[in-house]
Amino acid sequence: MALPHYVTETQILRKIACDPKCSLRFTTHALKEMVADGWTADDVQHALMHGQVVLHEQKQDVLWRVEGMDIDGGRIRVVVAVYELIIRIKVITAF
Amino acid sequence: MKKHADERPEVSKEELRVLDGQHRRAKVVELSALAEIKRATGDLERAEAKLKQVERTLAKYDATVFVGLRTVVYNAAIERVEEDGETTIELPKLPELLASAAVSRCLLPVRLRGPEIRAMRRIMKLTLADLAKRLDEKTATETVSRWESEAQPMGGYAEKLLRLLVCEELRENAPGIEYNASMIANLKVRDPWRVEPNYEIPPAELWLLPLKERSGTIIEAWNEKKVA
Repeated sequence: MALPHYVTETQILRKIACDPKCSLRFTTHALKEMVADGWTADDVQHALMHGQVVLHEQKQDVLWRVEGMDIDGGRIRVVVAVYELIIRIKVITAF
Repeated sequence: MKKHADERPEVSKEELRVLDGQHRRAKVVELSALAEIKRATGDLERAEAKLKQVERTLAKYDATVFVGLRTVVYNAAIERVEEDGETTIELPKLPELLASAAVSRCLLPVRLRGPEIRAMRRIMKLTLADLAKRLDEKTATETVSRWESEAQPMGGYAEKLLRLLVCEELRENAPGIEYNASMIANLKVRDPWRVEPNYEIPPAELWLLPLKERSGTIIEAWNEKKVA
């Protein structure tokens, strides 16, 4: 079964992730997960720039689950909160 | 008090980029956040107090997880407690930090380990095949893979070639690190693990400092040495 593809959200995410002014904030939980899986900030950034939004959740923030590839082509999923107006992405977790 | 707050001169983001040295990016972000809170509460002083309460710049932060190479940054990492109580870390000028750490490691005359080769390749955003091709057309992808997994040691010539490639590729993003190609050529690489198997590589110690470019413009750059 094909994954749902949130076209608008994916476009917004890629636009913000590719912006040189974009600030990436990592939660301590996300950093722990990245260490466990051997990913660095570059892998997460690569996934955000080239991946697609597959899930949209309304929690305290609006959270998007992004599926993409790390630099070596391995699958990586990242949950992010995207702040379009202030060009900021908060990385909640990566798995 | 409110009147006093309103009298503050408006500073555009563009002006901040020129005027503010050390924490330019952090300031721009802070200003945006401040504007958001100001709109919501209409009280600048309260917003400022709130920001101070939840945000601090860490004097020392181990950025190895961000970079993939042993790296410590000073007075740059921003720790925040978000509204949901979650703690976040932000490193300003992240691509420049990655490049500076890689160049700094290449100039350290200690043999490169497999995970470091892998980290440098990732910082250059190259796949195994890309790196093999860039080093030498005769280098096989499998060879690079064996170097990274430490199944096969990297030869001295290949290692210098890799260091040169990394420095040349990333030098533009690492203007604060002093480098020229002859530094690699003259490097006398040693292998401390032969005598001390538990040897730990010293981390790249980086500060974000203002740097004057040849054109005269002042930019922020990751620097290896602390300037008083």
